[in-house]
Amino acid sequence: MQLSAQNIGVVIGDKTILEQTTVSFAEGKCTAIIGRNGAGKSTLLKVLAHLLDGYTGEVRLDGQNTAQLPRKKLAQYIAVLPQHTAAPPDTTVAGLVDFGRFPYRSIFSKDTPKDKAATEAALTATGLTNLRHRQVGSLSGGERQRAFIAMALAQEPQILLLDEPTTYLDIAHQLEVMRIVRRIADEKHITVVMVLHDITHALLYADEIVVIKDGGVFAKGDPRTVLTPALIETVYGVQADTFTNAEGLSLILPRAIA
Amino acid sequence: MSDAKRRIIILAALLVLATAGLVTSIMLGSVPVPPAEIWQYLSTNETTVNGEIIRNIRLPRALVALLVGINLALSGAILQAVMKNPLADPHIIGISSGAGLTGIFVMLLYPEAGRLVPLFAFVGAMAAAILIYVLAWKNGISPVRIILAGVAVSAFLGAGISAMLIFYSDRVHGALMWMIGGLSARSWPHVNLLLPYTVAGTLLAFLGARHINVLQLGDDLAKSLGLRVELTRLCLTALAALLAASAVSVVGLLGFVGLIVPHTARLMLGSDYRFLLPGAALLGAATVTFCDTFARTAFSGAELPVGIIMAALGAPFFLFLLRRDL
Repeated sequence: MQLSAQNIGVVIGDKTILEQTTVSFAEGKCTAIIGRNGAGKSTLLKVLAHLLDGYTGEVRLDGQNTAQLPRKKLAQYIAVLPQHTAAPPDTTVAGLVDFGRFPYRSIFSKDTPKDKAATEAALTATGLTNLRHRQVGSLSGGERQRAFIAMALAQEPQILLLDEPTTYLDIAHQLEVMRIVRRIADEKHITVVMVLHDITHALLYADEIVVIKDGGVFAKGDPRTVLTPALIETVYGVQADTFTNAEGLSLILPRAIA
Repeated sequence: MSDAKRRIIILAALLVLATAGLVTSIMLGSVPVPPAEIWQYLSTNETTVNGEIIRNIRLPRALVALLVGINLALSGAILQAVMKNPLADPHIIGISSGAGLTGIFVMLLYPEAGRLVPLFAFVGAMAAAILIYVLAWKNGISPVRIILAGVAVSAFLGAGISAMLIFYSDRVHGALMWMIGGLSARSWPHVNLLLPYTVAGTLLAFLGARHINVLQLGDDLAKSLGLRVELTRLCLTALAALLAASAVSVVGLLGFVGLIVPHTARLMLGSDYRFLLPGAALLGAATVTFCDTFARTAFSGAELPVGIIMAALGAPFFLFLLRRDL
Protein backbone atom coordinates (compact mmCIF):
# COMPACT_ATOMS: atom_id res chain seq x y z
CA MET A 1 0.00 0.00 0.00
CA GLN A 2 1.17 3.47 -0.86
CA LEU A 3 1.41 5.81 2.12
CA SER A 4 1.75 9.52 1.54
CA ALA A 5 1.35 12.80 3.37
CA GLN A 6 -0.12 15.73 1.47
CA ASN A 7 0.40 19.34 2.57
CA ILE A 8 0.54 18.46 6.24
CA GLY A 9 0.46 21.40 8.61
CA VAL A 10 0.62 21.16 12.38
CA VAL A 11 0.45 24.10 14.75
CA ILE A 12 0.70 23.48 18.48
CA GLY A 13 -0.02 26.53 20.58
CA ASP A 14 1.51 29.37 18.57
CA LYS A 15 4.34 27.24 17.24
CA THR A 16 4.32 25.88 13.70
CA ILE A 17 5.70 22.33 13.83
CA LEU A 18 5.05 21.22 10.27
CA GLU A 19 4.20 23.40 7.28
CA GLN A 20 3.00 22.22 3.87
CA THR A 21 4.85 18.94 4.23
CA THR A 22 4.33 16.55 1.35
CA VAL A 23 6.13 13.24 1.21
CA SER A 24 5.37 9.75 -0.04
CA PHE A 25 6.94 6.52 1.10
CA ALA A 26 8.19 3.77 -1.17
CA GLU A 27 6.07 0.64 -0.95
CA GLY A 28 7.74 -2.32 0.74
CA LYS A 29 10.86 -0.29 1.51
CA CYS A 30 12.42 0.91 4.71
CA THR A 31 12.44 4.69 5.09
CA ALA A 32 14.24 6.58 7.85
CA ILE A 33 13.18 10.06 8.95
CA ILE A 34 15.97 12.14 10.47
CA GLY A 35 16.36 15.71 11.65
CA ARG A 36 17.15 17.80 14.68
CA ASN A 37 15.23 17.58 17.94
CA GLY A 38 12.02 19.50 17.54
CA ALA A 39 12.22 19.56 13.75
CA GLY A 40 8.89 17.73 13.54
CA LYS A 41 9.99 14.14 12.84
CA SER A 42 7.92 12.54 15.56
CA THR A 43 5.01 14.86 14.80
CA LEU A 44 5.07 13.73 11.18
CA LEU A 45 5.07 10.11 12.30
CA LYS A 46 2.16 10.78 14.63
CA VAL A 47 0.22 12.40 11.82
CA LEU A 48 0.93 9.39 9.60
CA ALA A 49 -0.26 7.11 12.40
CA HIS A 50 -3.36 9.21 12.95
CA LEU A 51 -2.41 9.71 16.59
CA LEU A 52 -2.68 13.48 16.42
CA ASP A 53 -5.85 15.48 15.98
CA GLY A 54 -5.89 18.94 14.56
CA TYR A 55 -3.58 18.82 11.56
CA THR A 56 -4.28 20.23 8.14
CA GLY A 57 -3.71 18.33 4.92
CA GLU A 58 -4.29 14.67 4.26
CA VAL A 59 -2.63 11.37 4.93
CA ARG A 60 -3.43 9.01 2.10
CA LEU A 61 -3.32 5.27 1.91
CA ASP A 62 -3.58 4.15 -1.71
CA GLY A 63 -5.16 7.51 -2.45
CA GLN A 64 -7.74 7.31 0.35
CA ASN A 65 -7.75 9.85 3.17
CA THR A 66 -7.00 7.88 6.35
CA ALA A 67 -9.05 10.27 8.47
CA GLN A 68 -12.12 8.79 6.83
CA LEU A 69 -11.25 5.20 7.71
CA PRO A 70 -12.68 3.71 10.91
CA ARG A 71 -9.93 3.33 13.52
CA LYS A 72 -10.10 -0.44 13.58
CA LYS A 73 -9.85 -0.66 9.81
CA LEU A 74 -6.86 1.68 9.90
CA ALA A 75 -5.25 -0.50 12.57
CA GLN A 76 -5.44 -3.44 10.17
CA TYR A 77 -3.28 -1.50 7.69
CA ILE A 78 -0.97 0.59 9.86
CA ALA A 79 0.84 -0.59 13.01
CA VAL A 80 2.74 1.80 15.25
CA LEU A 81 5.49 1.48 17.80
CA PRO A 82 5.41 4.77 19.76
CA GLN A 83 8.50 6.09 21.49
CA HIS A 84 6.98 5.50 24.91
CA THR A 85 5.25 2.20 25.42
CA ALA A 86 3.55 0.91 28.51
CA ALA A 87 2.11 -2.40 29.62
CA PRO A 88 1.23 -3.83 33.02
CA PRO A 89 4.46 -5.58 34.09
CA ASP A 90 2.70 -8.90 34.65
CA THR A 91 1.52 -9.11 31.03
CA THR A 92 3.11 -12.12 29.34
CA VAL A 93 4.89 -11.72 26.02
CA ALA A 94 2.24 -13.89 24.36
CA GLY A 95 -0.48 -11.81 25.99
CA LEU A 96 1.09 -8.59 24.75
CA VAL A 97 1.44 -9.90 21.20
CA ASP A 98 -2.18 -11.02 21.34
CA PHE A 99 -3.25 -7.37 21.76
CA GLY A 100 -2.14 -6.99 18.14
CA ARG A 101 -5.25 -8.94 17.15
CA PHE A 102 -7.55 -6.37 18.76
CA PRO A 103 -8.34 -4.64 15.43
CA TYR A 104 -9.77 -7.90 14.10
CA ARG A 105 -12.04 -8.64 17.03
CA SER A 106 -15.47 -7.45 17.99
CA ILE A 107 -16.84 -7.48 21.54
CA PHE A 108 -18.29 -10.96 21.24
CA SER A 109 -15.87 -12.68 18.87
CA LYS A 110 -13.73 -15.61 19.90
CA ASP A 111 -10.11 -16.26 18.93
CA THR A 112 -9.82 -17.69 15.45
CA PRO A 113 -7.08 -19.94 14.00
CA LYS A 114 -6.03 -16.85 12.03
CA ASP A 115 -5.38 -14.96 15.29
CA LYS A 116 -3.25 -17.82 16.52
CA ALA A 117 -1.30 -18.05 13.26
CA ALA A 118 -0.65 -14.30 13.21
CA THR A 119 0.64 -14.18 16.80
CA GLU A 120 2.83 -17.25 16.22
CA ALA A 121 4.31 -15.71 13.08
CA ALA A 122 4.98 -12.48 14.96
CA LEU A 123 6.72 -14.30 17.82
CA THR A 124 8.86 -16.24 15.33
CA ALA A 125 9.80 -13.15 13.32
CA THR A 126 11.08 -11.42 16.47
CA GLY A 127 12.73 -14.53 17.94
CA LEU A 128 10.50 -14.54 21.00
CA THR A 129 8.96 -18.02 20.81
CA ASN A 130 10.99 -19.18 23.80
CA LEU A 131 10.10 -16.12 25.86
CA ARG A 132 6.35 -16.28 25.29
CA HIS A 133 5.50 -17.05 28.90
CA ARG A 134 7.84 -14.44 30.35
CA GLN A 135 6.34 -11.35 31.94
CA VAL A 136 7.04 -8.06 30.21
CA GLY A 137 8.36 -6.60 33.46
CA SER A 138 11.17 -9.19 33.56
CA LEU A 139 12.44 -8.56 30.01
CA SER A 140 15.59 -6.70 29.04
CA GLY A 141 15.19 -3.47 27.08
CA GLY A 142 15.88 -5.19 23.77
CA GLU A 143 13.54 -8.10 24.44
CA ARG A 144 10.84 -5.66 25.51
CA GLN A 145 11.20 -3.66 22.31
CA ARG A 146 11.04 -6.87 20.28
CA ALA A 147 7.85 -7.85 22.10
CA PHE A 148 6.21 -4.56 21.14
CA ILE A 149 7.37 -4.99 17.53
CA ALA A 150 5.86 -8.48 17.62
CA MET A 151 2.58 -6.96 18.80
CA ALA A 152 2.67 -4.58 15.84
CA LEU A 153 3.39 -7.49 13.46
CA ALA A 154 0.44 -9.44 14.87
CA GLN A 155 -1.72 -6.66 13.44
CA GLU A 156 -0.61 -8.00 10.04
CA PRO A 157 -0.11 -4.44 8.84
CA GLN A 158 0.91 -3.23 5.41
CA ILE A 159 2.77 -0.37 7.02
CA LEU A 160 4.86 -0.24 10.19
CA LEU A 161 5.70 3.10 11.81
CA LEU A 162 8.45 3.19 14.43
CA ASP A 163 9.34 6.21 16.57
CA GLU A 164 13.00 5.99 17.61
CA PRO A 165 12.90 2.23 18.13
CA THR A 166 16.49 2.01 19.42
CA THR A 167 16.45 4.78 22.01
CA TYR A 168 17.52 3.56 25.47
CA LEU A 169 19.02 0.33 24.06
CA ASP A 170 22.67 -0.72 24.21
CA ILE A 171 24.50 -1.23 20.90
CA ALA A 172 23.88 -4.99 20.82
CA HIS A 173 20.15 -4.55 21.30
CA GLN A 174 20.13 -1.66 18.83
CA LEU A 175 21.66 -3.92 16.21
CA GLU A 176 19.20 -6.69 17.00
CA VAL A 177 16.19 -4.39 16.64
CA MET A 178 17.47 -2.79 13.42
CA ARG A 179 18.08 -6.21 11.88
CA ILE A 180 14.56 -7.36 12.74
CA VAL A 181 13.15 -4.19 11.21
CA ARG A 182 15.24 -4.76 8.08
CA ARG A 183 13.97 -8.34 7.81
CA ILE A 184 10.37 -7.17 8.21
CA ALA A 185 10.76 -4.98 5.12
CA ASP A 186 12.73 -7.60 3.14
CA GLU A 187 10.75 -10.74 3.92
CA LYS A 188 7.25 -9.53 4.73
CA HIS A 189 7.34 -6.63 2.26
CA ILE A 190 5.91 -4.33 4.88
CA THR A 191 6.53 -0.62 4.28
CA VAL A 192 8.60 0.56 7.23
CA VAL A 193 8.85 4.22 8.22
CA MET A 194 11.02 4.97 11.24
CA VAL A 195 12.22 8.06 13.01
CA LEU A 196 15.92 7.61 13.80
CA HIS A 197 18.48 9.62 15.72
CA ASP A 198 21.46 7.61 14.64
CA ILE A 199 22.66 8.64 11.17
CA THR A 200 24.74 5.49 10.92
CA HIS A 201 21.65 3.34 11.40
CA ALA A 202 19.91 5.31 8.68
CA LEU A 203 22.88 4.72 6.37
CA LEU A 204 23.14 1.03 7.14
CA TYR A 205 19.50 -0.04 7.28
CA ALA A 206 17.30 2.36 5.35
CA ASP A 207 16.50 2.20 1.63
CA GLU A 208 15.41 5.78 1.67
CA ILE A 209 15.93 8.73 3.92
CA VAL A 210 13.75 11.76 4.55
CA VAL A 211 15.49 14.73 6.15
CA ILE A 212 13.19 17.10 8.03
CA LYS A 213 14.24 20.68 8.63
CA ASP A 214 12.22 23.74 9.71
CA GLY A 215 8.88 21.93 9.50
CA GLY A 216 9.34 20.59 5.99
CA VAL A 217 11.16 18.00 3.90
CA PHE A 218 14.72 19.23 3.31
CA ALA A 219 16.02 16.25 1.34
CA LYS A 220 14.88 12.80 0.31
CA GLY A 221 16.51 9.87 -1.42
CA ASP A 222 19.09 7.10 -1.11
CA PRO A 223 20.85 7.66 2.23
CA ARG A 224 24.27 7.00 0.63
CA THR A 225 23.91 9.93 -1.69
CA VAL A 226 21.78 12.21 0.49
CA LEU A 227 23.84 11.99 3.67
CA THR A 228 26.93 14.13 3.10
CA PRO A 229 29.03 16.20 5.50
CA ALA A 230 27.58 19.29 3.81
CA LEU A 231 24.00 18.19 4.57
CA ILE A 232 24.90 17.30 8.15
CA GLU A 233 26.35 20.77 8.62
CA THR A 234 23.25 22.47 7.18
CA VAL A 235 20.75 20.36 9.08
CA TYR A 236 22.44 19.78 12.42
CA GLY A 237 24.99 22.58 12.45
CA VAL A 238 27.71 20.03 12.99
CA GLN A 239 30.95 19.55 11.07
CA ALA A 240 31.52 15.93 10.17
CA ASP A 241 34.14 13.70 8.57
CA THR A 242 33.54 10.67 6.40
CA PHE A 243 35.18 7.33 6.89
CA THR A 244 35.05 4.21 4.81
CA ASN A 245 34.24 1.03 6.74
CA ALA A 246 35.52 -2.49 6.04
CA GLU A 247 32.68 -3.13 3.61
CA GLY A 248 33.54 -0.04 1.62
CA LEU A 249 30.60 1.97 2.89
CA SER A 250 31.13 5.66 3.54
CA LEU A 251 30.10 6.58 7.10
CA ILE A 252 29.79 9.94 8.78
CA LEU A 253 31.29 10.92 12.10
CA PRO A 254 30.52 14.27 13.75
CA ARG A 255 33.62 16.29 14.63
CA ALA A 256 32.64 19.72 15.94
CA ILE A 257 29.79 22.18 16.31
CA ALA A 258 29.86 24.41 13.26
CA MET B 1 0.25 -25.16 36.68
CA SER B 2 -0.58 -22.78 33.88
CA ASP B 3 -1.32 -19.17 34.60
CA ALA B 4 -4.90 -19.31 33.34
CA LYS B 5 -5.59 -22.40 35.44
CA ARG B 6 -4.19 -20.76 38.56
CA ARG B 7 -6.37 -17.72 38.05
CA ILE B 8 -9.49 -19.79 37.50
CA ILE B 9 -8.83 -21.64 40.76
CA ILE B 10 -8.45 -18.29 42.56
CA LEU B 11 -11.72 -17.08 41.03
CA ALA B 12 -13.46 -20.28 42.16
CA ALA B 13 -12.09 -19.75 45.68
CA LEU B 14 -13.38 -16.17 45.65
CA LEU B 15 -16.80 -17.40 44.53
CA VAL B 16 -16.87 -19.79 47.47
CA LEU B 17 -15.80 -16.96 49.76
CA ALA B 18 -18.53 -14.62 48.50
CA THR B 19 -21.16 -17.35 48.90
CA ALA B 20 -19.89 -18.07 52.39
CA GLY B 21 -20.18 -14.35 53.16
CA LEU B 22 -23.79 -14.33 52.06
CA VAL B 23 -24.71 -17.47 54.01
CA THR B 24 -22.89 -16.34 57.16
CA SER B 25 -24.63 -13.02 56.99
CA ILE B 26 -28.02 -14.76 56.91
CA MET B 27 -27.09 -17.24 59.66
CA LEU B 28 -25.64 -14.97 62.29
CA GLY B 29 -27.35 -12.40 64.43
CA SER B 30 -29.12 -12.08 67.75
CA VAL B 31 -31.04 -15.23 66.77
CA PRO B 32 -28.60 -17.66 65.10
CA VAL B 33 -30.17 -19.80 62.38
CA PRO B 34 -28.34 -22.98 61.26
CA PRO B 35 -27.71 -23.23 57.51
CA ALA B 36 -30.03 -26.22 57.15
CA GLU B 37 -32.99 -24.19 58.36
CA ILE B 38 -32.29 -21.17 56.15
CA TRP B 39 -33.55 -22.89 53.06
CA GLN B 40 -36.65 -24.06 54.89
CA TYR B 41 -37.50 -20.49 55.89
CA LEU B 42 -36.78 -19.17 52.41
CA SER B 43 -38.77 -21.79 50.53
CA THR B 44 -41.92 -21.62 52.66
CA ASN B 45 -43.96 -18.61 53.60
CA GLU B 46 -44.76 -19.62 57.17
CA THR B 47 -45.00 -16.58 59.39
CA THR B 48 -42.75 -17.65 62.22
CA VAL B 49 -40.54 -15.06 63.88
CA ASN B 50 -37.41 -16.69 62.50
CA GLY B 51 -38.96 -16.85 59.05
CA GLU B 52 -39.72 -13.15 59.15
CA ILE B 53 -36.24 -12.28 60.38
CA ILE B 54 -34.62 -14.29 57.61
CA ARG B 55 -36.88 -13.19 54.80
CA ASN B 56 -37.36 -9.54 55.60
CA ILE B 57 -34.32 -8.50 57.59
CA ARG B 58 -31.25 -10.65 57.09
CA LEU B 59 -31.63 -11.81 53.50
CA PRO B 60 -32.27 -8.35 52.01
CA ARG B 61 -29.53 -6.80 54.12
CA ALA B 62 -27.08 -9.51 53.05
CA LEU B 63 -28.07 -8.93 49.44
CA VAL B 64 -27.56 -5.17 49.78
CA ALA B 65 -24.09 -5.85 51.19
CA LEU B 66 -23.36 -8.20 48.29
CA LEU B 67 -24.54 -5.78 45.61
CA VAL B 68 -22.80 -2.77 47.16
CA GLY B 69 -19.57 -4.75 47.38
CA ILE B 70 -19.78 -5.72 43.72
CA ASN B 71 -20.63 -2.21 42.53
CA LEU B 72 -17.94 -0.37 44.46
CA ALA B 73 -15.21 -2.89 43.66
CA LEU B 74 -16.01 -2.90 39.93
CA SER B 75 -16.21 0.89 39.89
CA GLY B 76 -12.79 1.22 41.50
CA ALA B 77 -11.22 -1.42 39.27
CA ILE B 78 -12.51 0.31 36.15
CA LEU B 79 -11.39 3.76 37.29
CA GLN B 80 -7.87 2.62 38.11
CA ALA B 81 -7.40 1.58 34.48
CA VAL B 82 -9.29 4.49 32.93
CA MET B 83 -7.41 7.11 34.96
CA LYS B 84 -4.09 5.26 34.68
CA ASN B 85 -3.73 5.89 38.38
CA PRO B 86 -3.48 3.32 41.13
CA LEU B 87 -4.99 5.79 43.59
CA ALA B 88 -8.13 6.30 41.53
CA ASP B 89 -11.32 5.24 43.27
CA PRO B 90 -14.97 6.28 43.06
CA HIS B 91 -14.24 9.36 45.19
CA ILE B 92 -12.10 11.05 42.58
CA ILE B 93 -14.91 11.35 40.08
CA GLY B 94 -16.90 13.28 42.66
CA ILE B 95 -19.24 10.48 43.67
CA SER B 96 -18.80 10.96 47.39
CA SER B 97 -18.75 14.74 47.47
CA GLY B 98 -21.78 15.00 45.17
CA ALA B 99 -23.76 12.32 46.95
CA GLY B 100 -22.60 13.68 50.30
CA LEU B 101 -23.78 17.20 49.63
CA THR B 102 -27.26 16.36 48.35
CA GLY B 103 -27.77 13.41 50.71
CA ILE B 104 -26.79 15.37 53.79
CA PHE B 105 -28.76 18.39 52.58
CA VAL B 106 -31.94 16.30 52.60
CA MET B 107 -31.08 14.59 55.88
CA LEU B 108 -30.39 17.83 57.76
CA LEU B 109 -32.88 20.24 56.25
CA TYR B 110 -35.76 17.93 55.41
CA PRO B 111 -35.42 15.03 57.84
CA GLU B 112 -39.05 14.07 57.21
CA ALA B 113 -38.11 13.22 53.60
CA GLY B 114 -35.55 10.65 54.71
CA ARG B 115 -36.84 8.09 52.24
CA LEU B 116 -35.68 10.29 49.40
CA VAL B 117 -32.05 10.37 50.52
CA PRO B 118 -30.93 7.61 48.13
CA LEU B 119 -32.57 9.36 45.19
CA PHE B 120 -31.03 12.74 46.00
CA ALA B 121 -27.66 11.18 46.73
CA PHE B 122 -27.73 9.47 43.37
CA VAL B 123 -28.60 12.67 41.54
CA GLY B 124 -25.88 14.55 43.43
CA ALA B 125 -23.30 11.88 42.65
CA MET B 126 -24.06 11.87 38.95
CA ALA B 127 -24.19 15.66 38.77
CA ALA B 128 -20.77 15.95 40.40
CA ALA B 129 -19.35 13.30 38.08
CA ILE B 130 -20.66 15.12 35.00
CA LEU B 131 -19.44 18.48 36.31
CA ILE B 132 -15.94 17.11 36.81
CA TYR B 133 -15.96 15.59 33.36
CA VAL B 134 -17.06 18.84 31.75
CA LEU B 135 -14.47 20.85 33.67
CA ALA B 136 -11.74 18.41 32.68
CA TRP B 137 -12.68 18.53 29.01
CA LYS B 138 -10.28 20.41 26.79
CA ASN B 139 -9.87 18.96 23.31
CA GLY B 140 -10.52 15.58 24.82
CA ILE B 141 -10.02 14.17 28.22
CA SER B 142 -6.83 13.42 30.09
CA PRO B 143 -6.69 11.37 33.28
CA VAL B 144 -4.56 13.97 35.04
CA ARG B 145 -7.09 16.72 34.36
CA ILE B 146 -9.95 14.51 35.59
CA ILE B 147 -8.11 13.79 38.82
CA LEU B 148 -7.25 17.46 39.39
CA ALA B 149 -10.77 18.61 38.53
CA GLY B 150 -12.08 15.89 40.84
CA VAL B 151 -9.92 17.08 43.72
CA ALA B 152 -10.99 20.70 43.19
CA VAL B 153 -14.71 19.97 42.88
CA SER B 154 -14.60 17.63 45.87
CA ALA B 155 -12.91 20.30 47.97
CA PHE B 156 -15.53 22.85 46.92
CA LEU B 157 -18.49 20.57 47.65
CA GLY B 158 -16.77 19.38 50.83
CA ALA B 159 -16.88 22.96 52.07
CA GLY B 160 -20.67 22.87 51.60
CA ILE B 161 -20.92 19.60 53.52
CA SER B 162 -18.83 20.95 56.40
CA ALA B 163 -20.85 24.17 56.53
CA MET B 164 -24.11 22.23 56.78
CA LEU B 165 -22.72 19.98 59.49
CA ILE B 166 -21.73 23.06 61.50
CA PHE B 167 -25.01 24.94 61.04
CA TYR B 168 -27.13 21.93 61.94
CA SER B 169 -24.83 20.34 64.47
CA ASP B 170 -27.85 19.21 66.56
CA ARG B 171 -29.01 16.89 63.79
CA VAL B 172 -25.63 15.58 62.75
CA HIS B 173 -25.87 12.04 64.12
CA GLY B 174 -27.77 10.44 61.24
CA ALA B 175 -25.69 12.27 58.71
CA LEU B 176 -22.52 11.10 60.40
CA MET B 177 -23.57 7.45 60.20
CA TRP B 178 -24.34 7.93 56.55
CA MET B 179 -20.97 9.55 55.87
CA ILE B 180 -19.16 6.59 57.37
CA GLY B 181 -21.34 4.18 55.46
CA GLY B 182 -23.52 1.54 57.02
CA LEU B 183 -26.11 -1.08 56.23
CA SER B 184 -28.44 -0.94 59.20
CA ALA B 185 -32.14 -1.10 58.31
CA ARG B 186 -31.43 -1.71 54.64
CA SER B 187 -34.11 -3.94 53.13
CA TRP B 188 -35.92 -5.04 49.98
CA PRO B 189 -36.55 -1.58 48.47
CA HIS B 190 -32.81 -1.00 48.57
CA VAL B 191 -32.15 -4.36 46.94
CA ASN B 192 -34.57 -3.43 44.16
CA LEU B 193 -32.87 -0.07 43.74
CA LEU B 194 -29.40 -1.60 43.45
CA LEU B 195 -30.08 -4.74 41.46
CA PRO B 196 -30.58 -3.25 37.96
CA TYR B 197 -27.35 -1.25 38.26
CA THR B 198 -25.40 -4.26 39.45
CA VAL B 199 -26.71 -6.57 36.75
CA ALA B 200 -26.33 -4.11 33.88
CA GLY B 201 -23.06 -2.68 35.22
CA THR B 202 -21.45 -6.07 35.71
CA LEU B 203 -22.46 -7.19 32.26
CA LEU B 204 -21.15 -4.05 30.59
CA ALA B 205 -17.92 -4.11 32.59
CA PHE B 206 -17.20 -7.72 31.62
CA LEU B 207 -17.93 -6.94 27.97
CA GLY B 208 -15.49 -4.04 28.17
CA ALA B 209 -12.69 -6.06 29.78
CA ARG B 210 -10.71 -6.38 26.55
CA HIS B 211 -11.02 -2.67 25.88
CA ILE B 212 -9.80 -1.88 29.38
CA ASN B 213 -6.81 -4.17 28.79
CA VAL B 214 -5.90 -2.28 25.63
CA LEU B 215 -6.36 1.04 27.42
CA GLN B 216 -3.64 -0.05 29.86
CA LEU B 217 -1.10 0.06 27.01
CA GLY B 218 -1.25 3.85 26.95
CA ASP B 219 -3.19 6.17 24.66
CA ASP B 220 -0.92 6.05 21.61
CA LEU B 221 -0.72 2.27 21.44
CA ALA B 222 -4.40 1.88 22.24
CA LYS B 223 -5.29 4.25 19.40
CA SER B 224 -2.97 2.54 16.97
CA LEU B 225 -4.64 -0.76 17.83
CA GLY B 226 -7.94 0.72 16.72
CA LEU B 227 -9.43 1.67 20.09
CA ARG B 228 -11.41 4.89 20.20
CA VAL B 229 -9.69 6.04 23.35
CA GLU B 230 -11.74 9.13 24.21
CA LEU B 231 -15.06 7.39 23.67
CA THR B 232 -13.98 4.32 25.61
CA ARG B 233 -12.76 6.44 28.50
CA LEU B 234 -16.01 8.42 28.56
CA CYS B 235 -18.20 5.29 28.54
CA LEU B 236 -16.16 3.53 31.19
CA THR B 237 -16.12 6.59 33.47
CA ALA B 238 -19.89 6.85 33.13
CA LEU B 239 -20.23 3.16 33.92
CA ALA B 240 -18.03 3.50 37.00
CA ALA B 241 -20.01 6.55 38.09
CA LEU B 242 -23.34 4.72 37.81
CA LEU B 243 -22.06 1.70 39.71
CA ALA B 244 -20.61 3.77 42.54
CA ALA B 245 -23.45 6.28 42.70
CA SER B 246 -26.06 3.54 43.06
CA ALA B 247 -24.07 1.95 45.88
CA VAL B 248 -23.34 5.20 47.70
CA SER B 249 -26.95 6.34 47.44
CA VAL B 250 -28.03 3.27 49.39
CA VAL B 251 -25.32 2.79 52.01
CA GLY B 252 -23.67 6.19 52.27
CA LEU B 253 -20.06 7.10 51.72
CA LEU B 254 -18.52 3.70 52.14
CA GLY B 255 -14.88 4.25 51.32
CA PHE B 256 -12.21 1.64 51.09
CA VAL B 257 -13.96 -1.05 49.02
CA GLY B 258 -13.49 0.87 45.79
CA LEU B 259 -9.80 1.42 46.40
CA ILE B 260 -8.45 -1.56 48.31
CA VAL B 261 -10.51 -4.43 46.93
CA PRO B 262 -9.43 -3.90 43.29
CA HIS B 263 -5.80 -3.70 44.40
CA THR B 264 -6.10 -6.87 46.43
CA ALA B 265 -7.71 -8.60 43.46
CA ARG B 266 -4.88 -7.33 41.27
CA LEU B 267 -2.25 -8.73 43.61
CA MET B 268 -3.98 -12.10 43.47
CA LEU B 269 -4.99 -12.24 39.80
CA GLY B 270 -2.76 -9.84 37.85
CA SER B 271 -3.74 -7.00 35.53
CA ASP B 272 -5.75 -8.88 32.91
CA TYR B 273 -9.21 -7.37 33.36
CA ARG B 274 -10.92 -10.48 32.02
CA PHE B 275 -9.89 -12.08 35.33
CA LEU B 276 -9.48 -8.99 37.48
CA LEU B 277 -13.06 -7.71 37.07
CA PRO B 278 -14.84 -10.89 38.18
CA GLY B 279 -12.24 -11.30 40.93
CA ALA B 280 -12.78 -7.77 42.22
CA ALA B 281 -16.57 -8.20 42.10
CA LEU B 282 -16.47 -11.44 44.10
CA LEU B 283 -13.93 -10.12 46.58
CA GLY B 284 -15.98 -6.94 47.02
CA ALA B 285 -19.10 -8.99 47.71
CA ALA B 286 -17.25 -11.19 50.21
CA THR B 287 -15.62 -8.22 51.94
CA VAL B 288 -18.79 -6.25 52.53
CA THR B 289 -20.93 -9.25 53.58
CA PHE B 290 -18.36 -10.56 56.06
CA CYS B 291 -17.53 -7.14 57.45
CA ASP B 292 -21.19 -6.25 57.87
CA THR B 293 -21.89 -9.52 59.68
CA PHE B 294 -18.95 -8.80 61.94
CA ALA B 295 -20.09 -5.22 62.51
CA ARG B 296 -23.57 -6.46 63.47
CA THR B 297 -22.59 -9.27 65.77
CA ALA B 298 -19.16 -8.68 67.28
CA PHE B 299 -20.22 -6.15 69.88
CA SER B 300 -23.36 -7.42 71.58
CA GLY B 301 -25.97 -4.72 71.86
CA ALA B 302 -24.18 -2.14 69.72
CA GLU B 303 -23.92 -2.19 65.97
CA LEU B 304 -20.99 -0.48 64.31
CA PRO B 305 -21.19 1.00 60.82
CA VAL B 306 -19.57 -1.45 58.43
CA GLY B 307 -17.29 1.30 57.11
CA ILE B 308 -15.35 1.36 60.37
CA ILE B 309 -14.88 -2.41 60.47
CA MET B 310 -13.83 -2.57 56.87
CA ALA B 311 -11.14 0.06 57.21
CA ALA B 312 -9.92 -1.32 60.52
CA LEU B 313 -9.60 -4.90 59.25
CA GLY B 314 -8.93 -4.30 55.59
CA ALA B 315 -6.14 -1.76 55.76
CA PRO B 316 -3.76 -3.98 57.77
CA PHE B 317 -4.60 -6.94 55.56
CA PHE B 318 -3.88 -4.91 52.47
CA LEU B 319 -0.58 -3.68 53.90
CA PHE B 320 0.34 -7.29 54.66
CA LEU B 321 -0.33 -8.28 51.04
CA LEU B 322 1.61 -5.31 49.76
CA ARG B 323 4.69 -5.95 51.90
CA ARG B 324 4.72 -9.62 51.01
CA ASP B 325 4.65 -8.92 47.29
CA LEU B 326 7.17 -6.11 47.14
